Amino acid sequence: MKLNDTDIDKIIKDSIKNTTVPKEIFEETYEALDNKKTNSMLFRYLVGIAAIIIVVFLVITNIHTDTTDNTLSTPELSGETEAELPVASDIINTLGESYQPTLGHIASPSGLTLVEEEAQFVGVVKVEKILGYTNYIKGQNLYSRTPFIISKVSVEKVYKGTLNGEIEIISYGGVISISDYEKALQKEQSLDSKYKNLSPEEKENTYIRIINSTTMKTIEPEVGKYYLVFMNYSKNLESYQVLDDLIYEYDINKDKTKNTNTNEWETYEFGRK
Amino acid sequence: MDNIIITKAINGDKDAFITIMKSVEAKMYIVAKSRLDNNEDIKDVIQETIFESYKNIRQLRDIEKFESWVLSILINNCNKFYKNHNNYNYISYSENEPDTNNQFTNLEKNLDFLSLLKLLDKSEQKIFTLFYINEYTTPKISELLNINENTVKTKLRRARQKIKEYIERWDDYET
Repeated sequence: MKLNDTDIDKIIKDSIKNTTVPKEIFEETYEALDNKKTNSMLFRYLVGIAAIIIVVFLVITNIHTDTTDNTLSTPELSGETEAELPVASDIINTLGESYQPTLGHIASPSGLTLVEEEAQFVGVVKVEKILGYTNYIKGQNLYSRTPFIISKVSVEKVYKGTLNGEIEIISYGGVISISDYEKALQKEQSLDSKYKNLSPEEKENTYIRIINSTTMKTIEPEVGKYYLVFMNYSKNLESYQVLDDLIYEYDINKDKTKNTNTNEWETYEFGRK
Repeated sequence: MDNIIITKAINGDKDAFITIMKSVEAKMYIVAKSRLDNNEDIKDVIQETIFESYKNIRQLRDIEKFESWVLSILINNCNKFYKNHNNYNYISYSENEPDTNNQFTNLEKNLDFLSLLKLLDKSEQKIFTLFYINEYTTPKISELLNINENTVKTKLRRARQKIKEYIERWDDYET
């Protein structure tokens, strides 16, 4: 059956009527309307009384105030503050140890047919906020020597999968404290001598960046930027996780991705062999 | 919508108010669902919107604009909710679990609006909802989202095309 534009418009408008609305959402609210109105009036009445009491109190206390200048400074407006992210003071290179990317470093997403098949989600996300860093794997109750970045992103484009809206994702990178890094060490491994003799408090407050020669190429997400990502849902991390370093900066205006070796912009075509 | 009922609601008739709210329930639910994942949160935001509408309906100047007025309140409440609940543990994954079946069969031929939205990417969903639910024109959408009007039209066209292909494929699949 071939449909024309008028048919499609009608189908879309009918689909609004077809939407099942959970009645309980609305029914309870309608029942509460009477109470709300009464409570609203009562609330306004109480606020009014409170305001009068406060004014009277201020007038009375001001009469007894001395004449020295006690002008209060205007308080600073407090808006939402971004969580302060730790800054690394050093780098530890784990070349040859622990984390080895399964796929090796892949600079360009073009032609990654097998990865496209493996990944549960392939698409473009925009980073709204960096929520923090961690090296704790909740599902296994252990610490990893490779930290992760937790980002809040909005899903902008979907090549594969069903994600939408704002979600949290995890990708490799970030910064952790010496203390958390130490928790990830095996019995036979030990901290670098420069950190061994730090006090527990110093270890808590000293941050390091972990790299492996291939993870030097890993793109760490930045707020406001778009990225093409290949992800699977990790039960251990309880989050969607970017596979290895398969995260590529994306130009939403040009519809191109950045090659992480050459920094050239390339066209990405999902499903191209 | 019957303007007499809206006028009665403006004059304080609770039953009239409930009647006119029922006529926009589907659109309210769609708008809230397209912005919030969790059903409890959707319920909170819708409740807040209904209470606010009930309290302030006397301020409604143009009774023809009742529906868009309520939906604007709802969108503002959704945005407020996001702002106040902007913390690490907030996001619920229940609506975003991996689709282990083929997306096509998973949706079935469920032609309700929210199912159609799943066929679209995020930017298309936003524009699509503003066009069909809020009934904004393309210049208004362009202004609201601060994007070029041609981009709005392109995305709308693409969205309709995706839906058309989906329905036509489904019909082929069934026969």
